[in-house]
Amino acid sequence: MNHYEIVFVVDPQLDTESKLFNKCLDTVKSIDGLTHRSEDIGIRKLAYPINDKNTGHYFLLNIECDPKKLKDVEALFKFDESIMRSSLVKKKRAETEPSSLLTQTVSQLKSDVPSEPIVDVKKNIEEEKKSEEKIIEKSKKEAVESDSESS
Amino acid sequence: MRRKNEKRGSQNKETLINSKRTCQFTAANVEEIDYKDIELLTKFINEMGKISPARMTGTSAKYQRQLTKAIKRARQLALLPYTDSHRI
Repeated sequence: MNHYEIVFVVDPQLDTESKLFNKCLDTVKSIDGLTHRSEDIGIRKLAYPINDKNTGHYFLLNIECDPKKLKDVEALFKFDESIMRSSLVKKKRAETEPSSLLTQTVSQLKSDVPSEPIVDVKKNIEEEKKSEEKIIEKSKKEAVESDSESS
Repeated sequence: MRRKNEKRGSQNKETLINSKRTCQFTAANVEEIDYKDIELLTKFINEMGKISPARMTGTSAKYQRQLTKAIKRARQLALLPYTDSHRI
């Protein structure tokens, strides 16, 4: 029994319900393997575009299984259309703590959240400006019309 | 002999190299550098996306080997860029 770490990236548009992740967990069970850590890291921005796509859904698995039966798990990544990248690394021991990738992605998402209201405020300001302009235009039109009526 | 040691060139070189000489992995007694820790790895690549040499960062040879492996794994998974000229 050896320890392995699997990271794979899935196209978020093709695999919306993380089917491949569940398949992976099932196959690990079927080959009498143990899952020490399984993380749905979530959608991240890619460092460079893959197949003209800029985002990917990351998953992490730490398993312990017989090296002869590992082919079944590897076969999942070979024959799937939604997969973008996958890696399988041998590890010395079981890891159970939350990974740095997960914590960093979560903290990134949190830091991104406060930036959204600022955008909304900007939009509101723009909308207010537009509405003001409209009012001014309306008043102008009315003035012109009243002028034409009086003449 | 003293004069030779006090040459300008050699002094400048020493100050450049000694500015960041300690290996942070040796100090922290790291078991293995994690290829998923992007915040750590980005400190060891320059703006071009190249791996910075050990003589600039002060990383020991043992950990520099681990670091290059970790950065290359992270690049494969699109966690780090290969260059600065990716079309995004």
